[in-house]
Amino acid sequence: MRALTSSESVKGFKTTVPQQAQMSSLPDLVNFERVALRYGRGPEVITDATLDLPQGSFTFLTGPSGAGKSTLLKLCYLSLIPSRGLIRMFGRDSALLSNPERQAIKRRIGVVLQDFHLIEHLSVYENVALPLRVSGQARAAYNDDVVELLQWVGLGHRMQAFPPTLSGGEKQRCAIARAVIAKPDLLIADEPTGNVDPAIGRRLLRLFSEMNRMGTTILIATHDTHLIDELDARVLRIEDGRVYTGKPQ
Amino acid sequence: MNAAAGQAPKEATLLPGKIRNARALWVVLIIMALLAGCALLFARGSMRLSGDWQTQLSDTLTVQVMLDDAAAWERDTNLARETLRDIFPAADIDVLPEAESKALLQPWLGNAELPKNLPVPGLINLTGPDLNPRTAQAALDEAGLTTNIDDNTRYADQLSGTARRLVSIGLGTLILILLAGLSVNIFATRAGMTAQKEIIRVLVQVGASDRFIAKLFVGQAFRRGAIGAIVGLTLAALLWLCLSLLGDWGGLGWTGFGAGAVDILWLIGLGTVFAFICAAAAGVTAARQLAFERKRL
Repeated sequence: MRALTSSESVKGFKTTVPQQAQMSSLPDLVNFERVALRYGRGPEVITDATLDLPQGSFTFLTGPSGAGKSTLLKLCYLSLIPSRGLIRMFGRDSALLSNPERQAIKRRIGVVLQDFHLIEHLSVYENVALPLRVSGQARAAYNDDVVELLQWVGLGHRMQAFPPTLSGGEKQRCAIARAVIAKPDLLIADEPTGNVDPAIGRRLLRLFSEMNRMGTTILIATHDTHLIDELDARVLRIEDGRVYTGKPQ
Repeated sequence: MNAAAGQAPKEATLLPGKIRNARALWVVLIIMALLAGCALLFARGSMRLSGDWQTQLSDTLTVQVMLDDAAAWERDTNLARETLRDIFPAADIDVLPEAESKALLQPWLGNAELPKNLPVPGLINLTGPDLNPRTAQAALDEAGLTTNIDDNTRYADQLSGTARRLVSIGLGTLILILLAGLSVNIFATRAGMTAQKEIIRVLVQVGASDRFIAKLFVGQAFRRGAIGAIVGLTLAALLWLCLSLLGDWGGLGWTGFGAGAVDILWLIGLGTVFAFICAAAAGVTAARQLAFERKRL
């Protein structure tokens, strides 16, 4: 993958970079108040989670395996409904969202999952174009953006390839391209470097950093402390279903 | 590649075109379309046969000329024939010879001989359009003849009732087959959604609406139903044609290629209905299933 420089950007994407001083005055994109979640009648896997993600922020979510990182992310991208507590997404109470409103908010969130969730019978190009296609855009309108983004993430030569033929790193970049193609306000990634070698992991981190500089709010779940150390970003820690601020000791 | 050159390649279908283990579903749909086609053709054939028979019966009258004296047979039957010819000039009037009239009584007498002076009724068959039994009766009464006219109403009514029942059976079978097709498609859509839950999960994640996802299954079911209908109904038409033209099946209501063309139009209509039923079943099932899954979260 070609290294990105800080001055590079993709055509049509946000170019304004929020400054740290400005960020504090910006509204929260995500706001949790004493949120809890239990599956069925089991114990609470998330307990009294209170957190916020200001617009334009870059946040790591860390914690040991099984602590509830993926579950917390699912709550953030509206894949789960909390058992109790309040979740505000883009200023709206998620419990009061109608189905179309929920879908509209989902279209403002890009998600990169640990196992990529690429559709195997669709080409790399089709996978990346998916969010634009489901939002009803005509192919002619988004074709150039998809091609340019794929070239930007180093998959220009693999556009017609199918996911089973891709390497782990290529799948990762394809999933990331799909997550960002619709220019989301919020990007959520679950262990994005978990399946790739350290060199590709650093490149991906640089990609997220670049996107954040262009205004996208980033939330990354990882238990890779080296990754966290490479970037001076906010860290949330989850232990036994409870959320704390700051790096683990 | 096309995309790189700025030219958009054709959009791929979001659901896989070839679903594994779907061969059994194809076979079921084709058999259902075949049965539906046969039921429709059976109903149409029954209607057509009933119509033909009724037309034939309504064009026929049988007049019995009652005699007091056996010697008056020829005189009275001739008078009756002339009277009938006057009022029905276009009709074909056939007087059954006395010997044949007597022969009709033979089965009731066994080996016994008919008495020589037994007054056997004269039988006159009329064939032609617009044979009104009341007009005939009035004219024959006026001529001083004692007659009994059978216009086949009883047989026509029985035939009509039988034909109605046959048509009802055919249409009832057709409705049951279409309901079975509906159920099969509901089941197939549920199974398809389970098999493709990963794709649905991705679509939901990227913000696809329930309507968008349901439309994918509607399109898939419509194609499936249309292809199943084309194959099944073509087989039904060929089967019907073979049965009608080969062997002694009484025509099965097949009255040649002119009527066959109308049947083919009916089959095309049935195929369209079949495909739409498949699509509607898939759409409603997909929408309900997505809503159910959302509530289950």
